[in-house]
Amino acid sequence: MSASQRHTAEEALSEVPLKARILLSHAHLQHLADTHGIDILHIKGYAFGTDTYPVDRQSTDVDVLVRPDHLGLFVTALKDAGWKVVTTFESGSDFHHAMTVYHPTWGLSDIHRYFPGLDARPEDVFDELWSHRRIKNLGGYECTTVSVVDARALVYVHAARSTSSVKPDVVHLDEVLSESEVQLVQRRVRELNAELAFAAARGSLDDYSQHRDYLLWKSSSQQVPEYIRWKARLRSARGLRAKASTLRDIFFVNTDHLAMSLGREPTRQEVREKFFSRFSALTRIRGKKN
Amino acid sequence: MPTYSRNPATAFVSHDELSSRIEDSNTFYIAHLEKSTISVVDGVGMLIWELLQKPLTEEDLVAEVAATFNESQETVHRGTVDFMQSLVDEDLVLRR
Repeated sequence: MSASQRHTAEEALSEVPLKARILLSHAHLQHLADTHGIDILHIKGYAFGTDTYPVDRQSTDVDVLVRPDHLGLFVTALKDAGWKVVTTFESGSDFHHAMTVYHPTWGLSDIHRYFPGLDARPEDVFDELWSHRRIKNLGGYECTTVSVVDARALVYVHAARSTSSVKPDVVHLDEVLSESEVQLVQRRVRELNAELAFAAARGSLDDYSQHRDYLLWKSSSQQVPEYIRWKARLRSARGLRAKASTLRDIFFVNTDHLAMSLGREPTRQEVREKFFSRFSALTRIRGKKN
Repeated sequence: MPTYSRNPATAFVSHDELSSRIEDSNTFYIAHLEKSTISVVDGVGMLIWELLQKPLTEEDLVAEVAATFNESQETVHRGTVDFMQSLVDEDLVLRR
């Protein structure tokens, strides 16, 4: 018999194409969730098919949205299964919405506790998405993902966090969706309280210039000076505690991000230089105003 | 006579699924979702994995492989049984 069956140790993983690893990673995460009675929704990437993304669009990681009540259990299950935390919810992004984890076999995964742009309680948003869920076969395994209409809405909303002037996924959807399909997406965007992010993705954000989160989405979807980004985050933070937390984020150095950009752990000197660089930015801003 | 079935804690991708281009490929990537391993299976192994969509006795499995390759059951028996043993050793297949 010519069949060969080679166990894949770390050195042999290079034999496995990235797309295969990613698809199997979806299956692994679903299995983990099923085993522990955890609700997850696979979002973006290969979970969304060619009914939403361009053909041959490549993905490099797996994204899942976790039912907020199940988050702690899922993170524990991930760690028990050998996943390591790369960035925490606090250090992952301005929105604090996702943590990035890594596994030597499965690669990178973003674990979302909410989806920025869907402006309602994360528990309610998850229930809403979950109530329209569908099953999709990923890696030969039945995975839970959002409906096709919700997938398209999420692609628009997600694109609102890209400051690139060209948003290829949005361009693709604008080109391929029929008028009735666009109307379905728009209705769902309203139901999910995502009008602002949707408008930001489609270049009509100025229709919402009086909204308290206008600046937040403007600074998320377009190139703006850093102090505008900070101002936007402060304005949109709900409550004193959130504002204090935002201030701390602005001035304290995100060592996880610094480590990723350096490709190694930063030295104390590098952290110090990064910290003081924020003050020099402020000085320049003040100098301009005077 | 033992019966073989896929371990439910497995998932797999065929090389054909990885590209929209039509490629002549004979490779499966099979993951053990709890052990976090990925095994590469090609050739006759692919056929056997496909056959195991439903549980099969060793006798049926050997007969299917022999029929597919137009060989005698005696010819394919040893290789098929050895291959099944390797899948069982990796816990990708359950034997009852």
